[in-house]
Amino acid sequence: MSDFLASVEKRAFKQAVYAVRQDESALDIVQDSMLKLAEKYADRPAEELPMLFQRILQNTIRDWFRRQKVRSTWTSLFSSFGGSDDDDHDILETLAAENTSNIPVSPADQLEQSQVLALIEESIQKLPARQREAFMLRYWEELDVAETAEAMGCSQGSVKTHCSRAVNALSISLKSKGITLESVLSTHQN
Amino acid sequence: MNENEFGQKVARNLNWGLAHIDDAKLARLRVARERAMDAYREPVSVIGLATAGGPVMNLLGWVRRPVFWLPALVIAAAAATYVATAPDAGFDDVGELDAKLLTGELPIDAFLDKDFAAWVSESGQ
Repeated sequence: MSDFLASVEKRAFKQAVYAVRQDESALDIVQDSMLKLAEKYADRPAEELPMLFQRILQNTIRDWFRRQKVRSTWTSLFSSFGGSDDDDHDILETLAAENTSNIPVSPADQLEQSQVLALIEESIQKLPARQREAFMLRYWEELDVAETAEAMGCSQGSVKTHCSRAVNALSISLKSKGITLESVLSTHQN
Repeated sequence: MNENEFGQKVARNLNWGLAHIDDAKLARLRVARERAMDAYREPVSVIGLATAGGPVMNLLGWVRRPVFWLPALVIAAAAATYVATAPDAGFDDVGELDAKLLTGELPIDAFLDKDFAAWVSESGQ
């Protein structure tokens, strides 16, 4: 269990950061997810742990958004300055305006790589939540379609659709920033 | 370039970024992992049954779970209700016994007749 948690903790943290865009909250989410896995699924076979952990992590992220929504509802109710009350309020769009990117400072000789990575991460953060979730589980966590569907609690067809749309959106977003996949590869294969 | 290749290339870039998470956050992640491992070890260290070549069964852990004691509680409540409301089969009122004798087809005199008892024992053989 310890080895498994050590192997996934960094990616889990980054996944949570991409979703909630706050490092402290992301760390709390990862800690809660690890605790839940250890407490409730200690007796499960090792091969089930990746899928179970991802399911717990995604649910914990969703819980975080629910709490934020409740908090913002109460805040807007009691705020005398009450801003625009949009029915189609998207918390991701709100958070995008805050520019809380936490790309670590890199050495000077890695500046270019850091900049490219920052642009990729920015594009990932802007994906709709379910598309980002499917993309990260399939390609970063390397779960297969069935495992991704189980972790997300949806059908395999939905996973394929989300992944396809995520790839399309990311491709367009990166191109608009002047990043082609070839240049990304040549930058980081060294 | 297909979807898989694109996804794998993006994943490679993201992996590169993992090496640049700062030390403070890595320390927090390590603490989080250690807390999780404390929670993981705790149920194993209490009373348990070791099965040959198998995992440790944690009895106390099971007993603590509602899925274990809730059905037991319901069964106990049902049993208590049955005992409190069911008629006592081992006890008959004297009046009831009299009524059964009086309404029976066999007259009570038959039980007092010694020849009748002899006939019953003979016919039983």
